[in-house]
Amino acid sequence: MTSSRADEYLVCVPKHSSKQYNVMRFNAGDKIDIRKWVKGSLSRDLSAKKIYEEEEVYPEYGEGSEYGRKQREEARRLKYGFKRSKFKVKDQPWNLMVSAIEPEADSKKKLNGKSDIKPKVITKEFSGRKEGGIGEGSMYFVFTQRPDCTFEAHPVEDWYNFKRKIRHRTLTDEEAEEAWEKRDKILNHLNYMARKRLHINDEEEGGGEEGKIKLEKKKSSSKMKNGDEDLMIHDNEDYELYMSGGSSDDAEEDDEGTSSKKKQKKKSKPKKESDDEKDEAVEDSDDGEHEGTEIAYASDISSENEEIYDSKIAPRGLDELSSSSSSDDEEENNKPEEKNTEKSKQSKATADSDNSDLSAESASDLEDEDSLSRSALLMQQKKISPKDKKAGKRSASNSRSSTPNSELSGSPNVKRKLHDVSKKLEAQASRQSPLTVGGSNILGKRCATGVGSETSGKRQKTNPEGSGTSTPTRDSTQHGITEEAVRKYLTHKPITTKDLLKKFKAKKKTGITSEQIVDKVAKILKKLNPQKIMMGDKMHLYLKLT
Amino acid sequence: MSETHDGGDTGDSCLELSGAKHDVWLVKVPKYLANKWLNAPDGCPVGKLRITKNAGRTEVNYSMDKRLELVGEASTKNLATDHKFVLQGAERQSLAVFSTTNAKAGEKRSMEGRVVQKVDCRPVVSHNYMKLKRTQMIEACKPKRITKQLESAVTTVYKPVNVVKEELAYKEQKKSEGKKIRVAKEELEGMLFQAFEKHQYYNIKDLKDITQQPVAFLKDVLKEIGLYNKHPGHRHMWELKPEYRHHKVETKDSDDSS
Repeated sequence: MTSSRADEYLVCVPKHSSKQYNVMRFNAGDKIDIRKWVKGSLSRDLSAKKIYEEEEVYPEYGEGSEYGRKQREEARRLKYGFKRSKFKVKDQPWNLMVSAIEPEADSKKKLNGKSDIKPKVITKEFSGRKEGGIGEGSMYFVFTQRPDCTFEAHPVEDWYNFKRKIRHRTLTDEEAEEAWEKRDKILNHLNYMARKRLHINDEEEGGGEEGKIKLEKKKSSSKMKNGDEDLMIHDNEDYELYMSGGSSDDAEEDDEGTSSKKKQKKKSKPKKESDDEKDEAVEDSDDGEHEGTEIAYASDISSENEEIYDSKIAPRGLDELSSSSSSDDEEENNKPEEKNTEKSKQSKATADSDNSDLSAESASDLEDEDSLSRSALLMQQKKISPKDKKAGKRSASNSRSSTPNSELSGSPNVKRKLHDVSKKLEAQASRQSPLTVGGSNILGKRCATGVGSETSGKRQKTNPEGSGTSTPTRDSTQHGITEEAVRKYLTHKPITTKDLLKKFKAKKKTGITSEQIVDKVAKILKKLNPQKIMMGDKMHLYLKLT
Repeated sequence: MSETHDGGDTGDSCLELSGAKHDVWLVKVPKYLANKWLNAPDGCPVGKLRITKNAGRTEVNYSMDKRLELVGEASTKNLATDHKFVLQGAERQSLAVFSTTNAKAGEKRSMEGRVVQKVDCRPVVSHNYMKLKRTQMIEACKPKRITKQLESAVTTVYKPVNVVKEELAYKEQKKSEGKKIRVAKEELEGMLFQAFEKHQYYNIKDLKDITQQPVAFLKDVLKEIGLYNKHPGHRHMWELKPEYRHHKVETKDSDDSS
């Protein structure tokens, strides 16, 4: 049988048709079937009209009007060749809203074995924009078949692409900028999104603080990839403590009338960072603060408790001592995570620094030092045996010592710093166990000062001071942190608090934590009340021999 | 068109869906053929479609009507070529056709159908087609702007003169008008008040035109009853003093002084 069948149809192009044909294009993924449409409405989207409206409308008659204003404006426009594009309704996009009956494809129901699918009326909204460049080289015709089997060809006037209108929340400008900043840092997107959702869920539950703490707990329990700005490699308990401590800290600072702005900003920063995932990479954009700092990748992580306390106290102490002239390269080498905690601590530290008068003077100085000292602190804290580390550092720095006597002269500065430190320490101490707090602070400070200085003659000095007397506590006496010792340093030469602490740290044996040293030195400085002098850009302390 | 001047959407937003059940073809046609179709004489079929099914494949051939050959530009006349319609299947789910009816009352929008086949109209390469293409190319190569020689010399070149004819006439006219005659002060004030009823701010030049008074006199009167604005926005503009101001929106009274 013949497989070919010829049919001939006439093609007509009707003229004077009142209808203008346009093409609607939908996204293939939307799976639109127009036969299923039940109800539809098509209208023009006039939202762009306000752009075309006159900016300033002047009254034509009566009050506020000028004679001949319109003509003048028109003449002006002509002279300068302004071309005004008119608002054309025909060129505006379409708003299409259709309701269709669609079977509700509920996968869950299928799993249960239910076979009945409820048809549901679903309304979809589309926005149809004109597509340009369609009719450049060729024309489109719509061929419809008449009942008598002739074809009618109608030219297509416009082509519209219809997209679904977005219903989900979009980022605001600020949010988008933040996300942009993080784009290289998020390494685990799944985790990131999961946390985001968790956060939203928690907030919806009305969690507020509790939610946040819960969330942070969860976060802290998850692993971090290349460290985090938050730098909280603690367990849940530690985080709790940190949180509770932090809130009380902030309250106190508020009472003291510190610059709440700075504090809030910094506070929000760690919080925000905690919101981000811990998988984020380390952020290195601190305006050159960490330039030249070497990061050591230590695998050991100190005990959680110590970490918490240390991290809490350290920043504040560092603030006060930040005016020391040397940076702690060594310690920074040892602790990569310093940076992470630095940020959060920085915030606290700077906030704290606002408290004390002294620190306020050299706030700018402190900040630079802060990061370094903090990093040093953190390094110290995170070490399992901070004392051992210190010893190790000491020995390392010993090799670098050149001019032992120079250290002595740097006393005044150090004293002042210590003064600041002690203040903060005391404040902190009130909230937590003083020993560990003070100890860690001192520790951190010492490390901060000790590492950076190339001339660490403290070791030599500490030896004779071992026989120091008139120290208030047994511990101080044992380790030579005496008033006499401090006085000696201060009278010899103006010294920064950092350097001073270094000296004491150097001769510190096991049995006293860095925080304790800081504490003691601070007390002594308070007693001695040295004079302050600006040398270079650091605050030095010294005592006049009278 | 159905849009109003203020740029609103006057059409009927209700979309008619009766035509949505129809199936249509969307055919892409080359420009020269489309022109022929659109310029065809009224009521005349433009051609014939021969649809054959060969071994499961559908072939569509289009042949142009003889009468259509006469349509079009001189160069493309009598160059009928056959075309084949290449069926490209539809992205079935995604194309549809709707129409807008340009009625004076309101624009009616309705769905016309679902596109089931996207078709490409391609000419069958033949001798005629080559000739057609050649003529098209020759047309395209011709420059749009041509140089034409003038029949006579240009007379509109202007020689530089001291005083142009029109300017001379203008000066004469001004002279004939003569100096402006001062009217009574009250009368001038009345005129000013009337003018300030209409607009709040006036330029001195405009006031001069309106009142036809010598500038010095006008300025004197203005200094009495008005203020000179120096601030940005309405700069260098005169307005009435606050005590004289009495703006009426609808009616314009001749005297409005307080």
